[in-house]
Amino acid sequence: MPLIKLNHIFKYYSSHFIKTFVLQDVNMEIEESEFVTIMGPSGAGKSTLLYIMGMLDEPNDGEYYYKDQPVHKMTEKMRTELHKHEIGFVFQSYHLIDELTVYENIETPLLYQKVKSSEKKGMVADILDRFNIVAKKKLFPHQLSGGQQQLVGIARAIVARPSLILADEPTGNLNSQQGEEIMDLLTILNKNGTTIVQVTHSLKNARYGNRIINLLDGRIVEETQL
Amino acid sequence: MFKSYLKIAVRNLWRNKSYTFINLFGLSIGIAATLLIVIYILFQFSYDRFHVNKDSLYRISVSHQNEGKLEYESPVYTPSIGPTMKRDFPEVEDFVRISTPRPVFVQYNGTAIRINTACFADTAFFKLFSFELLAGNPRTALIAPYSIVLSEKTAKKIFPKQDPLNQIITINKRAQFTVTGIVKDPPQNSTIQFEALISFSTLYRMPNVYMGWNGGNQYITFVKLNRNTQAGKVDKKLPGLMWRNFNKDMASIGLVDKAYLQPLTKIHVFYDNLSGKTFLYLLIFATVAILILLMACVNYVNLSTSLSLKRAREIGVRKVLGADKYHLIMQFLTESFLLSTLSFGLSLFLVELFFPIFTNLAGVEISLSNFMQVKLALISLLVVFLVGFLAGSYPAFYISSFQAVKTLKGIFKTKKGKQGLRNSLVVFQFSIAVILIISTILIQRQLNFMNNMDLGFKKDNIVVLNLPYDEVRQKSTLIKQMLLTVPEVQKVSLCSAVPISGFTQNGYFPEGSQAPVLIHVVDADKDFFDLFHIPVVAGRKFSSDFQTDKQAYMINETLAKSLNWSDPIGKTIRRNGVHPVIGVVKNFHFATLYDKIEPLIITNRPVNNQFSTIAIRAESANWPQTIQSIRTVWNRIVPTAPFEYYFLDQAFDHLYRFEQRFKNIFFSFSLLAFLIALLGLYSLSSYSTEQRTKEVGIRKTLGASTMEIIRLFARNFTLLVVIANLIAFPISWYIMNTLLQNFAYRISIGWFTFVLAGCISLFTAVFTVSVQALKTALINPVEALRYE
Ligand SMILES: Nc1ncnc2c1ncn2[C@@H]1O[C@H](COP(=O)(O)OP(=O)(O)OP(=O)(O)O)[C@@H](O)[C@H]1O
Ligand SMILES: [Mg+2]
Repeated sequence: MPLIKLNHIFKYYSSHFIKTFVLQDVNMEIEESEFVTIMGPSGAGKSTLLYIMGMLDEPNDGEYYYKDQPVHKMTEKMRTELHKHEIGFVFQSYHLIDELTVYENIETPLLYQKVKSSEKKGMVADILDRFNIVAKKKLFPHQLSGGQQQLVGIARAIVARPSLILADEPTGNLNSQQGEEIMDLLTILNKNGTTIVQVTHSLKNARYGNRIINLLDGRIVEETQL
Repeated sequence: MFKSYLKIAVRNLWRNKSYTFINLFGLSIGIAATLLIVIYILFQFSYDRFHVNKDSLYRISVSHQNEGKLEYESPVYTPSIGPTMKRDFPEVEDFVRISTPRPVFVQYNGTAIRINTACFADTAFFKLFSFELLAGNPRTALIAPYSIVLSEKTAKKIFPKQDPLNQIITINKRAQFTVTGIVKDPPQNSTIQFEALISFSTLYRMPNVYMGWNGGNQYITFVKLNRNTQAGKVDKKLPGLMWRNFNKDMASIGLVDKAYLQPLTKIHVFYDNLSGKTFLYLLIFATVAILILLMACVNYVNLSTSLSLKRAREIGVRKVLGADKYHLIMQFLTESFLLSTLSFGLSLFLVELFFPIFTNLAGVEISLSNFMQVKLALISLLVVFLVGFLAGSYPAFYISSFQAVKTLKGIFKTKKGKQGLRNSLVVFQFSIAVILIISTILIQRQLNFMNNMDLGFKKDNIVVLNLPYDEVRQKSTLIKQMLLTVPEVQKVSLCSAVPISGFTQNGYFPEGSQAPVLIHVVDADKDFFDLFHIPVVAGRKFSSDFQTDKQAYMINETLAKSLNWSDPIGKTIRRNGVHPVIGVVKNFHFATLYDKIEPLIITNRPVNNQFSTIAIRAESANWPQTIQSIRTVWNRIVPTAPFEYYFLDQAFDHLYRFEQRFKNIFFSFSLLAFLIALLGLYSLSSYSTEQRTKEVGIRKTLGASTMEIIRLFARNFTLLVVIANLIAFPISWYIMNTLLQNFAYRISIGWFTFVLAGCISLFTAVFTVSVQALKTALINPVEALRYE
């Protein structure tokens, strides 16, 4: 049973009766514990594909099965449950909540999961430590550099120990050493059973995964098994 | 979790300080207004609830019908109905009769003091009612004839030092009474008000007091029913009793009296005051309160849905992080509840601040501490909850339904439909505001109309003196003559009453009619007509040249018309002899303006040959001095009698004080409602200009003038206010037309008021928006563009 199964996915935007296709006939299967990399030029539709996988957006055509369950038939509630317990999302543009401190941003997914307070503190502290941002925990996003914000975004995505991590250019704004550390972290998580789908422009980072999917103008043009 | 909600809420309120302030301000004013009105309404409903027996006490009210037509209704009736009910109905446990209050003059140790409201009351008074006796025995205080129970205040006045109990006082220079008790002053929320109570048995000792069924309507009767007896049961039996004792004898002349029970606790709100319209007025106030609160909530809804645009991304992220709709809704409700709680705190402060002004406006003497009670606390809680919920729920549901992906991609825009909702809410607010403005103007115009109406007589520059008792009344002619020597005094008339709140009624047999007709009557000397400027339209007025004029009657036009007398002069009217009609006066208003002018007889001979009132017309540049001259005359002739005077026009104003107060309250709250609507408009326009700062900058670099930019913003809002006016016009016309029907003499509504209200609302709205727009328009375009 594949974790993610995409059948003939189409995504388009129509304006003035002209359809602009962003995704065209995308077919894909991702097994549990895979580490998949999506690559392609800017505007190829990578983020769109990730949004669809993360159930934040819906395809205009085609089917998406998550653990053999048809996503288009899921209720909003069921999707929220998945967001709560199984899926962690790293945004290309971080999307931290401006009104919350670093600590509170990271804590938020745990709040929605009703994790016990003592346990929660431990989990957040652990992550802060692992990302080396303990000193920044009381700062607000606008007080951080772009790279720091990205770290917080990643920390927030993994704190609840999701079984699927969707990461949109997680290292785009990090220096090479930080980037390596993050990739190592993702690798460890993957070794422990977490499925990872990442979008990246860097071939070096792509090599951390076991499969590379190349996207061009919304179509899969090449698949490389590593 | 809640802590996190609260934290976010606080931060958000803090971040949008100016909008938070607008919301706080509007909501706290709304809540404060509501609380004040709630206190007022609670007070009105608290009347007579302090009696332990409140649920089994009833007042008997009687509607008097003539030929099947209702003549009038009043609880003032014969002294016989109470005892008869107790005798015939096992359900009636006991009764108390209380006479209509009358002024008396008390003398003790050489000092004379006037008591305005002395009532005769039955022995059971203290058994049935819960007026607390401070001294004396409640069971026996009102048994013996010539017993008097004084209120605390009165007792202090008469006996500043001694113990009043068992002292002998003289009343009206005639009879001696023993003080048998001191009673705590009746609280303001008591229908039964008195300064002294006199034992009812005294009445039976007095000459000329009629205690049967056929007259002497001077007594209000209360009955106490047995526990568990429904008033309806007694009501069903009353027609039988009335038939046996009264209606049977009157059937031949078409008179029917119908008696029924009024629960004591409902008297104030449902039967008395404002001609029984108190409940209607309270309903209006309650509606206004709710509307003000709603309008404040609307401001919140409009602002937070506008501001939600700024928070769309946050919602999206939270959804991705696993937030349920429930979480998001709770988040926003926490924010609105926090705000409503804060506003409530602030409103308590406002209530405290405005309470004296409010009680003054409303003409009630209540202390706030009386209302720190459970009921008010519960209502407050309800208000906080309601405001939090009303204001918060729509934004909460609306915002939490944002689609995550759109908010995250930053392509999120509010839909046109939401704009529509906001616009309709603005229209709603302004419709209400305009309705209130129009109503206020019309009420004010009606009151002015009543003040300035041609009453058929002149009420200005008239001083009225009461002649308290026989000794003074016997000297009335002398007083009149002496008053005429005061240079400022132009005319003096002796009469039984002055035209203000109605004349008494008696039964008469006009020529040609077999049955007695109830007709109003006033006794007056010949100068009455000149003094009040009441023209005689046919025949002549009384004259001292004709000895026979003592027997003669004059009538008003309405009476002539109702009797179908085309030439009334020389016709006769029978009552204790036959009286010729010698003149007809032009109609004048002798009762309140709620009533049409009714038939009237003017006699030249007062009861017992004594006039009880003196009316003086004077022309004065220095009234205090003129009054002093009048007092000097008085003191020379009747030195021991208390000198009491009033100005007729002031008494007239006093007559409509309820209406005046109603208008005051209504006006203040309309003003508040309007302010809140403007506040909403202010914040909406400030938001929309803020949103479009960049656009304005671009337009200015492209050469738009300041005026053009103001127009850009004002156009939409102006349109909304115009629509609001169009909606408000018919509604307010309908409401006010209905309300004005209560007045027999009323203004015609006319279009001017609507134009005025329209102008006021439009002008202020355009002004509010323009100030905002101007601020934006004046920003340096470069700065505006950097704003992004
Ligand atoms: N709401 C929208 N309306 C119209 N077109 C859109 C919309 N959202 C995305 N697109 C288009 O979809 C295409 C794919 O966008 P997407 O964000 O998936 O690209 P990407 O591969 O992630 O690029 P990048 O590497 O720059 O992040 C783009 O050409 C974009 O213009
Ligand atoms: Mg992208």
